[in-house]
This record gives sequence, C-alpha cells and structure tokens, in this order.
Amino acid sequence: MKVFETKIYIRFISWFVVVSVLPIASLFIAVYFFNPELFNSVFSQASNTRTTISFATFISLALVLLLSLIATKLLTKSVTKPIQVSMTELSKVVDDLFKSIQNLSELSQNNSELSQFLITSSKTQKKGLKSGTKAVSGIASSLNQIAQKTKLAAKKTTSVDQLAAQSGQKSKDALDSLVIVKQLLTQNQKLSQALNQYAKDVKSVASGVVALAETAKFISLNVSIEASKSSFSEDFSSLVAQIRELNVTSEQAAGAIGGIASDMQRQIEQGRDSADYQKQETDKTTEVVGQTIDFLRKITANAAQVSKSVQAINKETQETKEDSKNISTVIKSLDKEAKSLVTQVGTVTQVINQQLVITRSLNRSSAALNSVTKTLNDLVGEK
Amino acid sequence: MATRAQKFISFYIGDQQYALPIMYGNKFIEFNRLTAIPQVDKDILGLIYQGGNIITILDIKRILKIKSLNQNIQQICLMFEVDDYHYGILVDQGGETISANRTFTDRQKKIFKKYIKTKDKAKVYILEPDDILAQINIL
Repeated sequence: MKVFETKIYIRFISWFVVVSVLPIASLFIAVYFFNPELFNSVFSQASNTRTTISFATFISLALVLLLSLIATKLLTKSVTKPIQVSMTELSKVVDDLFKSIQNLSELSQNNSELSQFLITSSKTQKKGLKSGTKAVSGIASSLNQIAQKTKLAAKKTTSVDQLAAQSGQKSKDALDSLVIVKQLLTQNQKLSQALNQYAKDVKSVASGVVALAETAKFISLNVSIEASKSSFSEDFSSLVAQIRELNVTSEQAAGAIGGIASDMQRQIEQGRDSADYQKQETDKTTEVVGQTIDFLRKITANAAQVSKSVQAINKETQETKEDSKNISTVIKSLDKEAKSLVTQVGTVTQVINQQLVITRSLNRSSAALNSVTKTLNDLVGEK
Repeated sequence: MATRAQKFISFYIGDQQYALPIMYGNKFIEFNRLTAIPQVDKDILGLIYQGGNIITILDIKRILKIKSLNQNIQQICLMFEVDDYHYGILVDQGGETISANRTFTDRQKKIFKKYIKTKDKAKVYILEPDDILAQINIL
C-alpha cells in the first residue's frame, strides 16, 4: 500500500502527527515547568517508570500514526477521488475549450479575411455599378440621339421617296424635251448644210467677181498703155478713168462679196460645228438622263425599303431605350443593395471584432483554468 | 527748145518700181500654162501662146539678180515686141503709164543705169528691151 500517494496524504499525516505529538509534548513541558521534580524523577533517573512512560508514549504515537494513516487513507478516498474525477473532466473540458478557442480564433480570422474581401468586393462592385450607371446613361443618351436621327432619317427617306418620284416625272419631261431639241438640232444641221451650200455659191460668185475685177484691171492697164501710144490720149483719158473706176469698184465689190461669203461660211461652219457639238451633247445628255431615270426608279424602290427599315430601327431603338431604362433601374437597386451590403459588412466586422475580444477573453479564461487544473493536479495528483 | 515727153509703163517687182518704154505690142496679160523649154538659158522660163502669138517668158528677177522670196501667185507678164518676136517679163504687179521729160543715169550701175523720177522724187529704173535681151543668151 502506498502511504504517501499524494501531497494531501502527507499533509493529513503531518497534521495527525502534530496533533498527536503536540498534547504529549505539552504535557511533558507542563510537567517540567510545574513539577520539575516529577519530571526529573521520571526522566533523569533510570527507572522502570521512565521506560514505561517512554514505551507508552512510543506506543501511543505509533498508534496515533497508524490511526492517522488509516484515517488519511479513508479520508483521501472519499475526498480525492471526486476531485480527481472532476479534474479529469475539467482537464477534458479545458482541452475542448482550448480547441474550441483555437477553432473560434481561426474562424474569427477567416471571418475577418472574408469581411475584408467582402468590403473590397463591395467597393469594387460599387465602382462597377457607378461605371455601369454611367454606361447605361451613355447608352440611353446615344439611343435618344439614334432615335432622333432615325426619325429624321425616316422623314428624309419619305422626302427622298417623293423627290425621287417627282424627279422621275421631271426626268421623263426632260427626256421628251431633249428629244425635241435633238429633232430641232437635226433640222438646224440640215439648214446649216443648205446655208453652207449657198455660201459656197456666193463664194463662187465672189471669185467670178474677183476674176472680173482682175480682167478690168488688165483692161485698165492695157487701155492706159494703148492710150499712151496714140495721139488721142486726151480722148482716152476719160475712158481709162472710167475703166479704172470700174476696176476699183469691181475689186471692192469682189472683196466685199468675198469677205461676206467667207464670214457667212465661217459662221455657218461655226453654227454647224456648234449644232454638231450640241447634238452630241444632247445625245450624251439623253443617255445620262435615261440612266438617271433608271437610277431614280431604283432609288424609289430602295427608298421605300429604307423607309421601312428605318421605321423598324426606330421601333427597336425605342424598345432598347425602355430596356436601358429598366437596366438603369436595376442598377440603381443594385447600388442600394451594394450600399446595404457594405453596411452589413460593417456590422459583421464589428461582430467579428467582438468575437475576437471574446476569444481573447476565453483564451485568458482557459489559461486561468489551466492554472487551476495544474494547482489541483499538484494537490491531488501523484507526487 | 521743147523736149518731147517720153512715156513708160511702170510695174513692180517686189517693192521696187521699174519702167519699160512704151512700144508696139506692150500689154499686160495673165497666163496659166507655161511650157518649159529644155537646154536653154535659165533666164528663159518658157513659152506661152497668147492671141495668135508665141511669147517667150523671161525671168526678170533672175536677170536683175533680185532675191525675192515672193512667189508669183498670179502669173502676170508685161509683153513687148522686138524684131517681130514677142517677149514677156514676169512682174508682181502692174502699174501706170508715166510720162517723163527727162531721164537720168546712175553711173554706179553697170547695166540698167537710166532712171526717171516720179513726182515724189523716187527713182524708177528703166528696163530697155535691148538691154534685157542683151543679158540673155538666146540662140
């Protein structure tokens, strides 16, 4: 049997020994001071009494020690066992508490990181929502402008359609006029050719007159020579003068007729060239106008189609505009939600901070419990 | 003593005026067809037939050594008659008949020295038919 299993045993035994020794020692001290003779008679002289008393004291002390051991054994069984059981339980609880605190600490750390992430995320989200709001505003503005422009385009397309139809009619009229002009130019060309022939005839007459003038000139010269030869030169002088006058007049007439014929022919040729040029230009213009009419017909056909397309675009733009308004509303509500989320995150952060404070407090409590457990363990545990 | 006025026919070669003494057979004519004669003096351009006469056409520009770039558009010649032969000198333009009381001599010239003066004191050299024919080698 282990007598000294725990410190409490030793304490109990010590107390019993002290309790048992102290009355005997007090008795001996009282006898020594109050009756020294008796004390000396008993302990100074060798005698049977001293031996008997010593033996009886020793026996009594031994008996007290034995009894104290038995009492201690009984007492410790009834006292230390529940404490030990409690300590074991307490130790388990402390361990669990420590683990829980560690888990709680880790959880708090994770929550803190999550909270930071949520704050960052919510800030980014807020920025994104602002950008989204601006973008949606831009889209709405652009759609407004597109809608206005498509309305204008629709109006203009209608105008183009009407103008194309009017232009088609006008082009037809122009084509008819050009055909008439072409006919007139043909007649003008014929007239020009006839006039040209007349001019040639006049020129031929002029050349005849020129020849006549030359002949008159030679006659004039030769008559003057003959007049000079004869003795009747005075009589010839008036004839020579008349012939010279005829010569001069013929030359002037020939010159004038030739000039007129040349001018006439030149003007006729210019007129003919102009008529030819105009005819060519009219032909070209007729061709161009014909192509323009075909083109305008195509434009008219396309303009109607474009008008329909523009109207469809206008309708789609209106719908998109409404959708953009809805998106804007959704973004606004998301913005509110984001603000609320930020507020909630703040609250969560506060809770996490409180949790951290509690964790630290629990840590301190756990440390204190550990200390108590250690003390108890020291008290009731094995030596 | 009164001097008898001499009559001349004036004509132009280029811008220069010349004069030929009036004699029988003088006439300005115009012709178209000239018949060239082979192996004759280069001063003889050819022959024409006019009014029943065969006329020898002389290149007076070449005889007078006049370098004129003007080509005769009209073939005009002034006829004259020497010893029953008819000659014609090509001229650019016919002139008038001139009467002159006095003739002058240009001593600096070797041939065709004589000249008359017009009213504006311009010199008109006289082309005597014999002098002209003397310049030509006619066989």
